[in-house]
Amino acid sequence: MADKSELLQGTLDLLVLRVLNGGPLHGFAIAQKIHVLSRQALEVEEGSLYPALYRMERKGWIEAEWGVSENNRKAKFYALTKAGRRQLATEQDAWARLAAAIGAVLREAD
Amino acid sequence: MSFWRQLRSLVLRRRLDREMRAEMEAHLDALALENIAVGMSPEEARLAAQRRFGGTDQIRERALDARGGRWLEEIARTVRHAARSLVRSPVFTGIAIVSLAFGIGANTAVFSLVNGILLRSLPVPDPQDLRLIEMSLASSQAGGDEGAGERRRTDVFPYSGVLAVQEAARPHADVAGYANLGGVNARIDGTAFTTQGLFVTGNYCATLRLGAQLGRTVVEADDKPESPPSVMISERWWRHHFDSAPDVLGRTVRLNEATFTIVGVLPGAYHGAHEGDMTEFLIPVSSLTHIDDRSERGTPFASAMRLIARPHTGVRDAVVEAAVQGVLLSIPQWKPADDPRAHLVDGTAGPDMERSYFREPLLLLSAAVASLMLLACANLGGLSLVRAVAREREHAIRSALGCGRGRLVANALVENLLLATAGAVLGLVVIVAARTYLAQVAAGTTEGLRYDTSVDGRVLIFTIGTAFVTALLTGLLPAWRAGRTDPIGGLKAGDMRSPRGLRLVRLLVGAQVALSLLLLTATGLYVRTFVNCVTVDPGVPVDQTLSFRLKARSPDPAVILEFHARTRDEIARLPGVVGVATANFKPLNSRARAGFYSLVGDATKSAASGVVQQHFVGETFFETLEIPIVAGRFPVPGEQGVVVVNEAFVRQFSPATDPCGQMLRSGNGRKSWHIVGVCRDARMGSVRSGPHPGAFFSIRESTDPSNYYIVRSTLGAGALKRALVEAIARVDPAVAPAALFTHHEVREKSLRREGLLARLVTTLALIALGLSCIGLYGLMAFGVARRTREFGVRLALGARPGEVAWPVVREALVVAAGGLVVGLVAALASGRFLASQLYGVSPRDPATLVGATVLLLAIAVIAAWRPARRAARVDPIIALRSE
Repeated sequence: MADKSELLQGTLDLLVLRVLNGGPLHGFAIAQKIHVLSRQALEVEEGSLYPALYRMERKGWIEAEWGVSENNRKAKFYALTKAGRRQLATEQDAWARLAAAIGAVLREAD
Repeated sequence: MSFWRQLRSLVLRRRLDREMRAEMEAHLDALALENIAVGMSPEEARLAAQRRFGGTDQIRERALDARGGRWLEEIARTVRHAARSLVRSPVFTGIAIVSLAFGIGANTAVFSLVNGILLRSLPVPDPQDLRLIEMSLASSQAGGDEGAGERRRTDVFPYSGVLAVQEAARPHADVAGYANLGGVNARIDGTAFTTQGLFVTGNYCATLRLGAQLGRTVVEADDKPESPPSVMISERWWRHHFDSAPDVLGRTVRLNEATFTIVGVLPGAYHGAHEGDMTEFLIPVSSLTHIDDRSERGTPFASAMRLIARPHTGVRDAVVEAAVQGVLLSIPQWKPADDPRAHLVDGTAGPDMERSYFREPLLLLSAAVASLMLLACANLGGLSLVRAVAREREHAIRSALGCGRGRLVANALVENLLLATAGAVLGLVVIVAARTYLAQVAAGTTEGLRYDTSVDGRVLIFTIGTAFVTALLTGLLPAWRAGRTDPIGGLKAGDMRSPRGLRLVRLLVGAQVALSLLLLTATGLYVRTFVNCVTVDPGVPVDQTLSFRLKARSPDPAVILEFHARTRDEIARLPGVVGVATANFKPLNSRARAGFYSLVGDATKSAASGVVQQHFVGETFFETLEIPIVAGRFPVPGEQGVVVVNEAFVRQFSPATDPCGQMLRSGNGRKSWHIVGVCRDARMGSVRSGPHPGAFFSIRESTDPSNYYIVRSTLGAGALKRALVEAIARVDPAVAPAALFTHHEVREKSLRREGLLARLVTTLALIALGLSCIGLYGLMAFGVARRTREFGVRLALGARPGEVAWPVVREALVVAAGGLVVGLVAALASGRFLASQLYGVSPRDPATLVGATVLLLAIAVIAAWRPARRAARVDPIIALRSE
């Protein structure tokens, strides 16, 4: 629990979209998956997750449907839309460019 | 797309809320399960999960924000709040909505008339490019009815002038001439009836770009003396006489004694271009030679035509004016002394005398209803302000609780918007309900529904616009005040002494009084005008006199004369009939045909010429109508080639010399008559119109099968009408009298404009009075309510009730007096705009002004009465204990 990283501003959308690329998930599972995939480094706050989900739903990147979770509870599942997939590609590109740029600066600044 | 999603989220808000709650609940459960899995007890697990999750409500709010649609919700909430607070004060809301409904309704009603009568344009392409050509002339030495120095305006040109103007303007504009041809005896398939149409120059349709609904228009080639007579017929004729048959082209119509071939059908929207009745046919001017014996081949009727022009693209009006100006003096009717000048005026709506007849009264009416609207706004503004002052405490509390200034302003504005909307809806309901009445007003005043005064898109936009402007006007002040609320001051001042707001309300109420005075003055003047018109000596008998029209069946002049002579004798023999006369026009209510004539005196002087009203009258005319001869003599019965002129003719044509013995010559110079006498002026047209130069020919020279009969009798109207119908049936059972009315009825009809105006303005003034009374009452009542405590203290200290009540009445009088002073100044200043509508009363009539002032002062006292009494009856104990 000690070395948790703060989520960089604006990256939550990218992570959620990327995670949903694998298939529909409910809110808890999204947070869980990001947590696991980041090797416990990233903790998604519920207070940010849900507003982000609703915002992305409004923008039409994801759509929600009620279903039944793995432990037989009613849950709302989010899935990527076509627009969401396009958005994911754009954001992934942007992230890659940013990461490369920052990496380059860090490596060669001396 | 996103808007619909937001709207949906607004409507489904409750469901969304529930869904969100369920979703977060599920999330919490999952977290708790995870905690149990690592060994916590269920309660512990649940608590830990909740700690981690944070406040579900806050998250939900933020999530809702993210969903969007907050602003819509905000609006809905503001509207709900405004509606609730309006419902809480039903008296204010009721008064506001009703006064707005009156204001908006009256404005919409008048605008629908303006829209129908003034704003419709000719049903042709680019009507805004059309111009009417008019002329102004130096006033004649005799003065006439206009004041000296004022120029006379005319729009009638002799045919030679039409040709000259057309030729002169040709490089710059197309110019077409047209004129009304009334009383034509038409026959279609054996059915005979009288009708009216237009005769036009060959380029008329081309100049107007008037198309044909079927067939072709009248063209230049038709306007040649050798061309076969061609006619375009109206859509009504086509429908009525030909069952809208497409093979109507090539069929024939008899107009007087000539046969015309139908070449086309006029568009249904085209009503023609003349005052009075509908245009049923359109013929080229050259074909007048076929139907009118007063013209001869090659010389179209010596009557006058009006001119309409369409300047070529890019040509300025001044260029056309200059070109027309250049030829005016080549027209023999005008001399250099007349100083004729050409003017181009807007012809968008086409030439229509009725329209100019209605323009001034309608514009005045618009001004009146607009001021009524202002009054309603001032009233509502005042009431809202009073309410805002009273609600200062509420506003202070709300702003202390963190309600933003924007919210307070928005609330006040939305409240007024709601009021204005309700008022507009109610006003429109009233208008739609009153549509039949409006249609009757329009029909009664224009004879036949030529004007479409229905509520169309333009009227609707006008109403909506009025409502919004109203909301803004009335809402801004209270909104501004609400926005300035100071929470500390507002809460501290228990008795809410805030003269700032009240000063403004006083100003508004004063403005109401001023506007009411204006409307009341106008009402007084119109009513007096109406009364004057009814009581003025019309110059022809009115009591126990009636007239009607009778048409001979045969077109043969000899038979016509014989038929009317026999009928006249038959009527004269009726018991109780004192006199009977015949004429070709209806006294009091019809415009006689006018033509160009010249007075030929001794050879040394050039002939004076001008427009003269032509009257054809029977032998007993002057005697029956009691029109005395002032010089010369009456014509001897059966005498031919003589004419009697009236005093107006003498004033204009030969003010210095005795016209008796001189010759009157027709405009084309083909015919002349000996002037044998001068008769007194009598109003042959409407009661309002002054006497025009007129000539009275023998009815034997008229070939019109229709004659008007004027019958004077001691019998009652009903009995006389029955006796007349029987007498006529004895002469010819196949004919019947038309337009059988007593002169009282005729006069009433000719005064319909004055009557309509007087009635409308009276209604408006009554509404205005009511509104002012409400405004004053509201101001006083509020003032008293605010000072209840003070009155209580004063009464407790021994003040007499009168000493408490008097200042209330005095305040009302002061506010009213301020308004009255402004109103009087405005009434005196605006008097000249009314002058042309008035008859026999000065626009600064002292009696009217004094009467209106006294009435308004009385209203002020009445409005202050109840509040003053309440002030005097304040119970000191209760007043001091409350608050």
